[in-house]
Amino acid sequence: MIQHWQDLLRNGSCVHISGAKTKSALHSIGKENVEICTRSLSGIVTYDPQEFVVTVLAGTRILDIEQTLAEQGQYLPFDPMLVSQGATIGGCVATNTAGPGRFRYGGIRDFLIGIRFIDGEGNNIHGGGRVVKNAAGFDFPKLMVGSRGRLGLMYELTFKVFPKPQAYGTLIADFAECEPAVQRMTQLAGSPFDIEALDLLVVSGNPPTYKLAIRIGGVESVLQDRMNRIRDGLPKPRCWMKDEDMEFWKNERDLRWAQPNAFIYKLPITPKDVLGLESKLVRSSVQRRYSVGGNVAWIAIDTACAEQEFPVNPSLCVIRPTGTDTESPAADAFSQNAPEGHFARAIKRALDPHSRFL
Amino acid sequence: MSAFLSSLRSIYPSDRLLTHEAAMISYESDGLTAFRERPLAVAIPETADEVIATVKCCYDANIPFVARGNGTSLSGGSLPTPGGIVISLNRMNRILKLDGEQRIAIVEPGVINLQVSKEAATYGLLYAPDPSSQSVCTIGGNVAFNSGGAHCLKYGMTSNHVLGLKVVLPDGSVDQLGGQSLESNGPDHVGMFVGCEGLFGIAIEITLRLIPKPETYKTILCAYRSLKEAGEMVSAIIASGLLPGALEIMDHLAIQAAEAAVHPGYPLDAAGLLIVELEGEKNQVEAEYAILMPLIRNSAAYVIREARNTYERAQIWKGRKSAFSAVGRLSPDFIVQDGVVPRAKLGEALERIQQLSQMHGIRVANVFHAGDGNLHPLILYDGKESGALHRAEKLAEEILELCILFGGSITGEHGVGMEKRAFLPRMYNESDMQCMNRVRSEIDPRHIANRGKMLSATGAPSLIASGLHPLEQAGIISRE
Repeated sequence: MIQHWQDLLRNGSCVHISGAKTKSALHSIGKENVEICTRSLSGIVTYDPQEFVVTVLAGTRILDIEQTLAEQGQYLPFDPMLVSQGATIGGCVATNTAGPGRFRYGGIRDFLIGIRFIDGEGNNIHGGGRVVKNAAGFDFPKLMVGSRGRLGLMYELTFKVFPKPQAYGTLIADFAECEPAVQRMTQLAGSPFDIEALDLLVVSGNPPTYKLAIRIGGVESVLQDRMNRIRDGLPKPRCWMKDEDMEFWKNERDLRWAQPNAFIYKLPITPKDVLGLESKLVRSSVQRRYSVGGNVAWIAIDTACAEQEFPVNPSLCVIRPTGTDTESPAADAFSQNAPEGHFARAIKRALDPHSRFL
Repeated sequence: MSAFLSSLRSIYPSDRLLTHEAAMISYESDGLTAFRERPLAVAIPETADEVIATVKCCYDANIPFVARGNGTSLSGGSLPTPGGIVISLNRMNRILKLDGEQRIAIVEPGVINLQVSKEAATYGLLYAPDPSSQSVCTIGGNVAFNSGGAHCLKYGMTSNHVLGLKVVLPDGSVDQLGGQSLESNGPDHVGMFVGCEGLFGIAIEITLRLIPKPETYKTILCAYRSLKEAGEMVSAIIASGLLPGALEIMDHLAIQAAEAAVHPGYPLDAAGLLIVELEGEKNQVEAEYAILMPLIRNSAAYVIREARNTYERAQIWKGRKSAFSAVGRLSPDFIVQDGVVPRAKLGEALERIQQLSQMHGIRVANVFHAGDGNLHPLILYDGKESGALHRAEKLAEEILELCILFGGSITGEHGVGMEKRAFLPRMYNESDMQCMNRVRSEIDPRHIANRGKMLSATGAPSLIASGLHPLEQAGIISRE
């Protein structure tokens, strides 16, 4: 399979890489090219729980990886998204879609430690390694995170994994206005409480209201005590444990809160941007979440009003999890407007000199 | 050449452009003292514009440059390039912004690592990467070499704490990589730049992620009659599902040396000493402690000591952090390695190192980050003894080979630099090396940025690390 893909690239084909297509908007470009689907390359190559390291093939469903890790009490701390929809690990890395749980220990870039990929000239390249600490050579694993198949065809990935907390619990606090909610979120993010996830949900309405969701994980016997300490500073929070907690966060990371035909945008922001964004969106019906302690805005825009002017455009990625065949105007805008500096262009020239990855 | 120097003189006043031999002596070498090279000149910029102008001059005149902080590299990373200049960034040492609310710091490259945590402490925050040289090493150097420390298993290395970079590429152009958010879209160029060992240019503004200071610590010291038993304890901790902030092991020779140097109160008859540190929220740490202690009590530990206060914790760490330089004092010369092996292979690797040590008749002390498999064998020799250096070099090479054989890495945190250039192609194959060379050539077609480090193994000088770094001799820094 790998040899075949290498030959394709060596013979000058322009390719378009896909996995389970759970981020379908990213597949609306370059339909005339050869499609390489990594789903056929799946499975766990090696997994040694003692080492906190797992190596998997790119087309492996995240669900399968999570199940294998869970049997050993471990997990992927970057909290991959769209798992229930069948997302592959390769697609997750290529689009850099990490869920709310990445708040605690870090994102995909912090856990991908080794990679094997085919470059634009068909060369088979290995970067990083299979040990959790390594400073030898250029960091190709990190480079590939978010590269959306434009720098190489990733086929094998090695991750650092962690022991999974014994138990989780979530506090949900309601706020009538955005500002106090953001303030509380910022305070908690800078506190010594070991918080797993910290998201701000916007509840549609006129005016909208806000829910601050705080997830705690750890040893079960002290979980309630820890939650009580955080609860003290919150306005009448509800406390969700076990299934309720799990379902809530599953809904978040699988983006089930968004309308099925909506375009979904990922916007990297800082906590200070939240109020500004809200002031622009407050009167709109746009569904939205501020995840990772206010470091990511997830915005779902209904296809019917997709033409509307988008309020910010620093760097956005449209992923549309379960969309129609409609082209996404924002996706086109992204591909045309993405500012590429000297460094980015040099990397692209080195890895894909003939622009075979589109 | 004189035209080149004239162009530099138009940027710098005479006291910030060193060209006289005597003034440049301290720039001839870094933490890897065996290598020495006199630069053509040393430029000492105070502003980003001066750095940019200097790099442009170098590009136009095709003169190589090496950016340098405080010269603590243990792999020869900041050694001058023959015929090239040194750009000394010490005076670019301003913390441009420290935002406690957003938990970021924007710093210039010459800022000292520990300074960031000191400033961040006002907000209850810290900068996690803690190389042993943190009281002198600079953030710019940490970025170039992706420096580590004692807490890498849980918190990662430097690259995991850098969000954004303003960089001067080798042609003098300026680029902004990343930003201030924890998340990004598009390829992770920041991650690619960190650890490039200066080959991609110079970072002139670095945006760092700060984390809340843990509420509490539990530091436990356990003594074992063999290294194997200490290693088995590490495996038991990992298997229990705990994730300690630090897991460190020292061998007999290292214990003796540390005790003699700083008197941390270590059990002198121990063959292996394990330091376990739990950290985090109070209740959680107490609960983890309740899981950890039965494991330790059921192990072969014959001394179990817990730090009861900040002073006792500091004593335990003082011994560990000073162990390397302390061992170095037992011998006139030494070579230090920082290879990595899978954790499960630690026992086997240490056994093999001991065998090699006996075979070559050379003493080796071991201090290592057991949590992430990062070895730090210290190979002791006397350079005045005929053939001793050669035998020590041979042993060092065999240890690196061992790390590669075990599926590990030739360097966990010191970088390839000058020292391990010959070994990188043994860890990566020809295709991988060609790819790295292509990337480097696209970013730096003239190969003027830190030429001769990491990638060009041809004609590499032999591996020699000899004597204590002047700062170690002065007791200012110690090695991990």
